[in-house]
Amino acid sequence: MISRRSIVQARADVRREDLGGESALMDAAGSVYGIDGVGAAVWAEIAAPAVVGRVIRNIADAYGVEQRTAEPGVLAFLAQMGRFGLLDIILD
Amino acid sequence: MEGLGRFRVRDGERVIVDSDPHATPDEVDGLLLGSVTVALAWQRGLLVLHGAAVAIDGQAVLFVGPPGCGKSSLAVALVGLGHPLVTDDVCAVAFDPEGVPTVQPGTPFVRVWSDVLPTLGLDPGALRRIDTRATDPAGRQKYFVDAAQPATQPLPLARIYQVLPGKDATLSITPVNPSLRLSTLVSATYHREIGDEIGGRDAYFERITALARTTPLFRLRRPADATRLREVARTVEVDVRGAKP
Repeated sequence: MISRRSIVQARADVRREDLGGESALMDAAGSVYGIDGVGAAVWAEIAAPAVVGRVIRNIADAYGVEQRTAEPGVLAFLAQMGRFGLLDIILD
Repeated sequence: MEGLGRFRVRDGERVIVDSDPHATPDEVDGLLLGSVTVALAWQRGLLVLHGAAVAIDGQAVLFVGPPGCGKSSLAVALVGLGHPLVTDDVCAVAFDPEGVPTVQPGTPFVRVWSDVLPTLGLDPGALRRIDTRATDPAGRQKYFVDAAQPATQPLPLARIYQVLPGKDATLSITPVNPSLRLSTLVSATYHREIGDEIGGRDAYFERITALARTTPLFRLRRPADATRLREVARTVEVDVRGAKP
């Protein structure tokens, strides 16, 4: 369960291509995923190990919204990326 | 290939056929036009998609979607409006030096199910039926429809429509953003495992994302009523021409 206190990082073997503001990801098994603009911004935040609370703050700042507005979306996105095996959960 | 024989595709140039004596000529043809052509195109370094394309004002318009969604019949309907056929079933895409995707001309005919022939104003008696041992659950047959003036040159790919089977009377066209285009194009990839084997996954990923980034894609919801096919074709024609600068 990913929370604000978790530390996560994009897996090093996931490839990324730009889709004009959105992003495409391909995992080591060859599965391809398209992520929208916000997802691409979150993905950029976790290129290095990142505390999820900080990711939420940065995304909220970037989009000019309250952290509590950004939080559910960011947590759901990271949980889904985790289920797809696209990120490492360094600290639960 | 179980019951059909062995087929070897080499260097994007040569196909060696060792067909099973029990396979019918149409079954062997079907394989040559399908999987064998797909392997040949991947060997030539092309990106291979499953779809039908026509040329509207000199630019290729590609239709993709699940089997039975009506992409081939829509192509025939557009051919009936005077637009050259570019390809049916196997759509091989190349990228020119500027990165512009171009569609290679494919078969000069379309294979369509018998039930759409009346809507297209075609008489099954005048067409060649495709002999298949595999019977369709609905008892339909497939026929070859020749295209009067098929395209003979590669054409730039202007846009892609994802044809969605009809649910009701709705006929709608909606644009799709690049990340969703990508999943549609991955689903439309023809025998991706062959492409990955030949060119590698990374090369595939770069090309499919280049296509998703550069080429507009629209969801085309066609009406459930198949007799409105000509109207759908006219709507596509207007949509493509309306987008011109």
